[in-house]
Amino acid sequence: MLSFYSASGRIVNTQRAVQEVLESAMGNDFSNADLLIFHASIGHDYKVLLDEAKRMCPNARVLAASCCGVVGKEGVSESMKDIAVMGIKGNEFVVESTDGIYGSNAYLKTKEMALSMKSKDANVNMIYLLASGIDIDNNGCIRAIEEVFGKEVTIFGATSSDNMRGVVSYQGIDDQVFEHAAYMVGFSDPSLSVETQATHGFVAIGEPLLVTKATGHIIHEFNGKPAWSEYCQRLGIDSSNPHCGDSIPVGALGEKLSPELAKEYGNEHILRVVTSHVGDDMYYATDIQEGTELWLTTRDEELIFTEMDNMVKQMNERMIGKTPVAVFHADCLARGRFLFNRIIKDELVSKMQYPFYRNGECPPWLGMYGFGEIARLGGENTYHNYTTALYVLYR
Amino acid sequence: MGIEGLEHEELLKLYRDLQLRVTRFSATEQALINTRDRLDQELELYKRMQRYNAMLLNVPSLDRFFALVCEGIVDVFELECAISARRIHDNEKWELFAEGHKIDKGICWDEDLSILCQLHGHGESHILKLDDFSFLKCLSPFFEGLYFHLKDVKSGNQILFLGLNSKANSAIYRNVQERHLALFNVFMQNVQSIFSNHQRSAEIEEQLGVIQKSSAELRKLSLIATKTKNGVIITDAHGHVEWVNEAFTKISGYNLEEIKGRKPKDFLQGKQTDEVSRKKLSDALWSKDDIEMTVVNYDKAGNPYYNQLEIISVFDEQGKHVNFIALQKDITHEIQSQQEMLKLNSRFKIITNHSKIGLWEWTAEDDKVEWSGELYQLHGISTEIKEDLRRIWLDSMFVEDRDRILGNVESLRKGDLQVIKDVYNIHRYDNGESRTIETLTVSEKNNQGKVVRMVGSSKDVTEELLLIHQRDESLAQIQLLKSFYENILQNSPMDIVVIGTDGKIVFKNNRRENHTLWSRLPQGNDLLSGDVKEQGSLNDLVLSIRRSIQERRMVQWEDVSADGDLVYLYNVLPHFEENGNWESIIITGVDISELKKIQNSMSLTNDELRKINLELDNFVYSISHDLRSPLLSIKGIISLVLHDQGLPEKAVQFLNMADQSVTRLDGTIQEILEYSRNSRLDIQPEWMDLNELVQNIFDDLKFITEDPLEMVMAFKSTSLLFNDKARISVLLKNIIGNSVKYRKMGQQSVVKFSFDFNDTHAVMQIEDNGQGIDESHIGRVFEMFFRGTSASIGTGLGLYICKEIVSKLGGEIQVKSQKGLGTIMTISLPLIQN
Repeated sequence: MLSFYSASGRIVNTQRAVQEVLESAMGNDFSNADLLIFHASIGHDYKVLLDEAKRMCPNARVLAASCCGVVGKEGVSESMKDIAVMGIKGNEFVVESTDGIYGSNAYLKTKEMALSMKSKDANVNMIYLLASGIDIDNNGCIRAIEEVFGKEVTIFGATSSDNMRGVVSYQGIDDQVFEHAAYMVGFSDPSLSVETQATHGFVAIGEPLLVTKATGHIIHEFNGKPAWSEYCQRLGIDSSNPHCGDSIPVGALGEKLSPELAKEYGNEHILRVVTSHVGDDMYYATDIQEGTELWLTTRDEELIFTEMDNMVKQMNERMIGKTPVAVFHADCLARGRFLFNRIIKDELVSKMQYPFYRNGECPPWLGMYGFGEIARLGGENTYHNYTTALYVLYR
Repeated sequence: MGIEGLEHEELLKLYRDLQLRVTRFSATEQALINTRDRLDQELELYKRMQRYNAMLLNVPSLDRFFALVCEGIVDVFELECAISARRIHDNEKWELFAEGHKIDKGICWDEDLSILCQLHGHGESHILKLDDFSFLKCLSPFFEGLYFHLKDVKSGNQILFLGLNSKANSAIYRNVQERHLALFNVFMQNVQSIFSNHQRSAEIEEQLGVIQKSSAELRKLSLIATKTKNGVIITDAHGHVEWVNEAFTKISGYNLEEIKGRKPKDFLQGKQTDEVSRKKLSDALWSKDDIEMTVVNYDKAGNPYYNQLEIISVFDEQGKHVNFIALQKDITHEIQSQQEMLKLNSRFKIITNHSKIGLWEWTAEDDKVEWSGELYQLHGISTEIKEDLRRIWLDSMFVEDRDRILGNVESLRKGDLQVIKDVYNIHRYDNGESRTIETLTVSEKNNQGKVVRMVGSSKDVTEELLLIHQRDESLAQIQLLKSFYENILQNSPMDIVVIGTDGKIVFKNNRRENHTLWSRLPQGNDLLSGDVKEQGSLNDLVLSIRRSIQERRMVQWEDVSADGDLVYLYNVLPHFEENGNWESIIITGVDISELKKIQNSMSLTNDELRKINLELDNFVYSISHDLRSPLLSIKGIISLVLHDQGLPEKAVQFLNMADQSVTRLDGTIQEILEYSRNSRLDIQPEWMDLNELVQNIFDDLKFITEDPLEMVMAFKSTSLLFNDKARISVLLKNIIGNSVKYRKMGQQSVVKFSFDFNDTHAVMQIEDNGQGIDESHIGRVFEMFFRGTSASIGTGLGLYICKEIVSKLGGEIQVKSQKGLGTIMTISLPLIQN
């Protein structure tokens, strides 16, 4: 039976940061840690992080992802030096990883991981997936896993990020640091179940951009014009920036949902982020068909709060009689300090955490501000952007 | 104008403009949000800075202080890394602390940091731009940063803080902007203030420490002065006693009341206090110099004692001389011991010099090693050498010995061992010669069991060991040889007994365990003189011994058992010393019973064989001789018939064939007769002239063919030979005959005969240019009845008889031939003395 332990904080020195969060999460029981999942802001040294974690917990598999900030049971922190860890004891899990994953091969690489995972443990009933947030086809990843494990196995997770510059994101696996890797943790503890949900609270504005030319997850043209220039022109931002740091906070693109899904989602659009571009080619977060209409969107703070309340309420209604034993949480970095001031953000996080408290205590919580989120929608595993996504593990 | 009046295109344009404005309003709204967030963020950064200020106040050390400032700069300003540096003086190196950047300790940052400080001065914060880094080495990877340098002009203390972003990560880290500078300035002012506080605290703590230390020192000194076993006298500046301790009273017998106000020289010095010491002391006191010396003083009872004296002049803070402090120690016992020791040392030195033993001594107190002169010599170094003796000793030692010896010495020094005996090898310092040193080291411990002294002796045992080694090797070799020969003797099929001059057995193998002959030998003088009580074997043995000694040679005698079945052959061999006296008798006995029997049997067989051979030879000779007569008659009759002119041609042809067959048969019989003659007849040597002999042979042969035939003879000095002429004649006739018979038909044939001799042998060589012998036949030409081909003319006995003749004459015959070229026959015969 798996057990979970978490801690988070902002400590500048990476080595000491690892020591402090591990001591806080695990007490002195380092040797019994079987799996450690770290989220650490982009200012940390990930190699140092992995080495120190391995030194302290030599028996544990160690996974890490870069992000823009962390959320733990201690609260939210968004700086260049945040760190959070979820320590797991028990052996009912399987870890798979791959390097060199991009949008063009995301499906194949993920399929390889999924097949390997299934061969090791066919009883996996939920999968935590983390991939690079830059140049990735998340729908391809989800499809590959579902083909192996079936749609009924819940996939939850995030994509790693930097501090919203869209320059680089890191993944740490045991003792190596990668820039285009992905890892999957398959949980097979039969006593556990998982509830996932995501919400964003954005509204579409104006006329949509029509995708007139696309290949896989790359958009070449909007409305018959070079995509990136057209997109920047609509946003009123300078298109000469080689990265997407300026567009990510304001450039959420919305795909229209079917009425049924819109009803469940509480919003007519599902959002997508563009984390990189090469010239006028924009690297969309999922595959995209020509003819798709994409709306620019704007935030609605009231809606954000309302939908957050609704989501947490719905999740709690579904979990009656069960106890949350751990919460994984992925939040879009654009919803972090670039969207809310600290007071509002603390309030938002408090609103999402409090309903899961038991006996006055927050369950082990590992959250990050990253590029993307995966949560169920319409009963299916779905990739989201610009959302708050909660993955609550119940027993 | 309302929109009703507008055309579709215009409406569409307006819609698009509106679209853009809506989108851009969103961006503007976001910009506003960003501004709000930035303010919020700066508030957050300010809070972080306050947190660091609080932490900096409580850091336990300056090292932690500088490390924490680095963390603060990185955290508060969200920069990639920070570097703190400090140095005490301009000419010292910067001490560096960093966060977010690995400082390579192998690279010197001093130049970069000094340049940076010169450019940007001290006391104010600056933003560093790309240009600031372009000419720096260590800082070249960076492109922007924050700078603060503080220098205390008076003390020269400097601190420097840098917050830096690298070019490599410029896309990730926020740009340093002017607004950051104000916050950085505030942070640095706080840091400066806290640093000053820390420094002041450190100084105060240091002063407190000094005061506490001084106070403690004073307490200790006071305690020492009172409780020390050494005498302490404190006088005023004029040398009048002000205070003495208990130890002084104990040493001198004077208490303070008795001597207060008096000068020590007036009551401590006496007639044995030498003038030189008095003057030296007086001069030092006059000039107020500190002095250490040993002087003879007198106690109250008038007994002299050796006083080890140290006088210190004490000055006040203004430099005025105020006191003398005299420390004295009664070292009479030590001096006496020392003198005794010197005598002993002197004696010991003489012994060691004569015995060539080097000595060394190590004392724990000063960790010094001293060598005796002999040890210097032993190592081949001058006593004037300035180098560290331990280093020389270590370097001289063979590498394979070093760890063992050092380990032993270390064990001795730790007290684990008390004595070490060892042998090791060194290279002499002066000529590198290898020497072997035998060493003995002893340690001396104090009451606490701690080793205070080690004394060692070293002796050069190179030659000694060499001799021992050679002796051991020789002994081992002798032992080996002894074992070897004993083994041989023990396993010899003979009885071997060695008898000493006293008649006792020195060695005896176990061939015949129960043989009692030896034990019955007369002992002492009876062995060489006097009657032998027992007749028979023992008598023979004693007589043989006496004879061998008298005649100084080996004597043999056969011991036959009473029944005649056993026969022993004894060899009695005397062995004499260099001075001619006999030392031992070696008797070997071997059972020759079987040999005797075989010998007898063979003798009989030989006689019989000889008889049979003789009869056979006679038979062959008689038969051959008897056969020849009718053959010669037949040959004569054929000759007569052939003289008849009227015979038909066919009959003549058949008669000639019959004549040839008879001639061949006659030749064969002659050869058998020659063979028989060679076997039967003894050698009858006589002088012969080989020139004549060969010429006659050739003359007989030259008419058997019409082919041109030449005989060439060569004699080195003489043609005379003393040997069996009949046999030599047969021999040469056969060989020269072969050269003629097997000539190359129709061609010029040459037969060369040469004769030579040396001191032992006569050598004859017959060479022809005939048909030669096939290589495959050469090895068989001397076999009986061997003929090279069926077409061969001879009987196959000729060369066989030659070989038998040469063999009979004790010589050798060799053949060399090459088919188609010719043959060389070489006959070597031993010279027979006339």
